[in-house]
Amino acid sequence: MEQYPILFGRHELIEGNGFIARVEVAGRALLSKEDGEYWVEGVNPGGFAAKGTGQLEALAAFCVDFRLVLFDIAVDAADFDVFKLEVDKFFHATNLVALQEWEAAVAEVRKGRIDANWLDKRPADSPLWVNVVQISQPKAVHNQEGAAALAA
Amino acid sequence: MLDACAPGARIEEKPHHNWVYWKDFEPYRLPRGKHGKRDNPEIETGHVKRMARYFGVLNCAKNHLQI
Repeated sequence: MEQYPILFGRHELIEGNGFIARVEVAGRALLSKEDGEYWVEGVNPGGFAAKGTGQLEALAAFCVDFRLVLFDIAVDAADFDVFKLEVDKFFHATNLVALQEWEAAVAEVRKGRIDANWLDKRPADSPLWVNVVQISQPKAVHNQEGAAALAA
Repeated sequence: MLDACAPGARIEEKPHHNWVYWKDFEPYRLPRGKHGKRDNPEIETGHVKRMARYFGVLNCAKNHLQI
């Protein structure tokens, strides 16, 4: 099966109940081709997936759905502290099945059997992290675009 | 499928996803689609498959669904 171990970064501004938060993540996902379509399954955060007709479309759909999950979390969060707690739980919920395949795909990348010249490479053991910050003093310097890379 | 493969699972509707809770897992988020509609069963089957993988019940799910 055509599979790619992905490392991704997202920076999202989320409006909550009485707060605005910035959610930054460095996570991982598994991009797979199945029946002519591409699926991206979250590894960290696990618990959701997206699809597309091509690799980039699937990754874009995954990023959109990531933000929509944050929207859903925000709806029920009474305050920032609850939102932060729930986002942390979301991120740290590992999709163990996808993780096994992700690690196997990393091994294939290292053997040179998988490559994706449309992605930069990053070390597979790059730190995974989530940071949720309440915005009190917006600054343009905090704006960052997302990124994706092949775990190697 | 959930009744057979993930007994006790419960679903909570959120604006953009249906959150599926089972055992101690963080919920799996099944997308509801634009405006809360989900009118393409083929897409949903793929998402259900991935949910089954997440919960570790894919083999059971294959016995109940065309996945």
